[in-house]
Amino acid sequence: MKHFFVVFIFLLCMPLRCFSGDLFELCIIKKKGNHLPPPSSVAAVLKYLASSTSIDPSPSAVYLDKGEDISDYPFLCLTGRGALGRFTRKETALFAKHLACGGILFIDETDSYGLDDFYDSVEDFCADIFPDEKLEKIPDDDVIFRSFYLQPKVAGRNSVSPSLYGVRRDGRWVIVYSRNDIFGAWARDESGRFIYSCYPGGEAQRLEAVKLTVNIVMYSLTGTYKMDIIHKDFIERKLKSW
Amino acid sequence: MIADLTLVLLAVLVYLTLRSHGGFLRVVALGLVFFLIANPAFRKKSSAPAPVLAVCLDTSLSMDAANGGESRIAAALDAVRKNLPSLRKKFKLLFYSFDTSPRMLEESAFFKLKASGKASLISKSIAEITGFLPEDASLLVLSDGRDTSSAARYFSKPAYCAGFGRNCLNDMSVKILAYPEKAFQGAVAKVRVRLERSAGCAEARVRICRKGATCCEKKVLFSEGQTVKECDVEFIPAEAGQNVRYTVELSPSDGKPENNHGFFSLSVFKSKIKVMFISGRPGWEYRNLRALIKSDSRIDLTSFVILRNPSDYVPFPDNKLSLIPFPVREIFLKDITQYDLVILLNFDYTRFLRPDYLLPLAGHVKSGGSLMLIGGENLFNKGSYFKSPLSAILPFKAPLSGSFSDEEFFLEPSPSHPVTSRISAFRGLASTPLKGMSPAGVLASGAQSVLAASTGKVAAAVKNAGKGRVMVVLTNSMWRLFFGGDETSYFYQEFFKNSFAWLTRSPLLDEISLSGRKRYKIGEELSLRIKLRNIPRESISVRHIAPSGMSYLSPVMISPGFFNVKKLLRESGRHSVRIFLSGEHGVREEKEFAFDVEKTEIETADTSANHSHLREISRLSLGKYLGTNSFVSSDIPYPEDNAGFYRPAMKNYYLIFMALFFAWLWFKENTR
Repeated sequence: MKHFFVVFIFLLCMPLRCFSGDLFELCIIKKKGNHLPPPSSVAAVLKYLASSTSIDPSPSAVYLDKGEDISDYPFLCLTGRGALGRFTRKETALFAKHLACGGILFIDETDSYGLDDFYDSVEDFCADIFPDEKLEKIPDDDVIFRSFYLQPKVAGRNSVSPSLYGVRRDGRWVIVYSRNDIFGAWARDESGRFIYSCYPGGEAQRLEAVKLTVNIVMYSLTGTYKMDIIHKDFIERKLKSW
Repeated sequence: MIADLTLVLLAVLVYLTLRSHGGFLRVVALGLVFFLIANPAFRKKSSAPAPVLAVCLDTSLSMDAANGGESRIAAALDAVRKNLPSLRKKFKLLFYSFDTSPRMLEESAFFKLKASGKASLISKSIAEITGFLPEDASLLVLSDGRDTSSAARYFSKPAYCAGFGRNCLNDMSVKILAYPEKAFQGAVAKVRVRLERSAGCAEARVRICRKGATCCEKKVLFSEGQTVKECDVEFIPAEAGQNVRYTVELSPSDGKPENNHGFFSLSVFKSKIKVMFISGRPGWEYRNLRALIKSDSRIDLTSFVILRNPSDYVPFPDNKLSLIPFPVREIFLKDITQYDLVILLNFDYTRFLRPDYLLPLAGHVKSGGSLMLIGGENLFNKGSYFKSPLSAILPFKAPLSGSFSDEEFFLEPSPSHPVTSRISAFRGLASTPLKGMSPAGVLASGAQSVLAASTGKVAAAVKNAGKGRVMVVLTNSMWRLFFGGDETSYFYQEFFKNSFAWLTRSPLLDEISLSGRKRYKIGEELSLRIKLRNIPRESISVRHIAPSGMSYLSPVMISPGFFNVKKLLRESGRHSVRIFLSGEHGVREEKEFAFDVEKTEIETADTSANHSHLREISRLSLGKYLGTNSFVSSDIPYPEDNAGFYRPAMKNYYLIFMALFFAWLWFKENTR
């Protein structure tokens, strides 16, 4: 029994330890009252990345309370609905430092209820972190839409907005914000079936959500790689072939 | 004014008092009154010794050259002999001879001097002589003006120079004093030149040319009386290469065109280095390193990341993917030699290419290219690179066993390697743990550790491989330093920037930069400028290795980080100067500067007189150029110090005297 307890404690601590080398680790920020993505969707994302790309993700995501040390996790994820809620000055300063150092924050709005409360709160949150930058639409021809899949539609479980939003700093997107519940599109039940249907585009919309997820992760790991001149001709040729 | 009026009043009173006396006494009294009112100052009788004049004769070999019927030295001695009586009347004479250094002589020995010195350091010798002389002394310099040293000097006493030998009246010359060993293509480089003119032309143009085409032109203006001017000419090397030769040309053309040009060669480094960066997978190390490289305008980056492995399944058609084929053959068999630096990050080549594809890369590195391998799970997977053609150039030996380690460690940079010497003392490294290290064996022979892990292992090592260089960093977790704080983030950037510079042999990382000429003649003075990248806390020592033996030279600090080394060269052959920077751990950096000394002696190679140099010495020392092939002693002024030769006027004493005199007269007249 004693040994079992020790192993249990060890397993509990495992996700909090950073992985060696430069494996991709998904770090989800927990906040009182916010809506976390379904665990099955996080697992599905990581599994897909491992099987379809050369990204080596850690097998599970890391969950950290807001205000905890995030310096080991360049890719942060914040989900929620209704409103993002207030962050203390210390917490926003921690985000600011982390994002300025090279981190990226992905914000996923899980449900909009047809209101802009969450959008407004994200806008305030971004202004708190980087007062000089603004939350803006990410252009359709941005490298984020070419980092792995070509021109995926901005889709998720919902289709609230046809655009991704973000905060650009020093030529890169440090905050990427989706209003369409991307994680919701990945969620499956125990039998492997999708939990939520995608509206209004159905399964085609889900596939676009899959592509967009991969692109966001790939963008965080490769930056402007697909803007290199060597890719330009190939990409243009492929786009013309559509 | 009041004193003067009082004096006049007293004089009138004296006159009135003596009015009743005889005419003679009145005239005497009146004369005395006027004398006192005139208030003259009296000249003292001087007892000071006669001022010293040092007669300095150049005895270098060039003074033996014919000067009409007789030699220059004979003409100079004749001129002294002729003026000796008049000089003796005014001055106390001291006699000196000089070639490389001054010597004091008796008068009899002076007139027996022969020209035999192998070099003439005129400015240096005169500067030394002025140090021996008393305050009011002056110098009479008899020389042909051929100075084998170009250093400007400070002369504390006036030098009156007489030039001997036939001087070309319309001559202007250029001499290259210093140029850098290395420069960057497209960046400004400086050449230091010395221009001399005899007379006439007040404007010159210095051109730096490459293969006949002018790279730059500089206008040099001489002020009135100025005959020598040293200046820096800036130019921008357009092409990269080793020993790129440039010529320095002076215009307008004059009566002696052979001294209107010179040449120098330097190594010009590419302004942009071409880097091929291949990453085995997307990751934070790739992202950060790529961002760092992209931010450097001097790097032209070509990058490939393996985004999908052959085993990965993508449920979308290929035209929906932005992926391009990895051009293995083009890169490794064809284009690899075009890159100055190849970076392979966590790249397991066995998945994509055969080992023989790495042969051109190994050959490229040995012939001057550079390679950086960065660790990860895939880098030395199953000992891959240790079984490849790259194994011989790697700084590590193959590990006996082991796999990618999950161990946590802290970095400890080497204080002695140029890559890390300036960033080795960062405290933040001890609080930012890294994780993950590729397996590797012990250091290969000739390899050097750059980064150590707190676990005792070597985290990064370098090795010279033929003409090229290789660095292996065993961890791909250095990106964590970016998030560790400002200090560690700076370390990350500096470490990789320095590594790229070291690998590509960029001068940016040179601890010691040298600037000097590569060819000299016997009798010329070596002048080497040393620039240190860091203002040294360590000691700097300089050795001169001549064909006959070694000697130590004393570097003279010009400004913090800049030193000058000079030495008169008396021996022909291959010479070198070795500069050592030593610290607590022994010699930290060493650099050699090799140069050739021709058998020709500078004194016999060109015996033409250079009176412009003597004019310049006269001008700088506030003396006078006395003329050519003779001089007149009256041109050398006798120093006069007016302040010491007159007794001051004594108006107040006269006033008191007059007052007492009047009081006595009045008393005498009225108490009778």
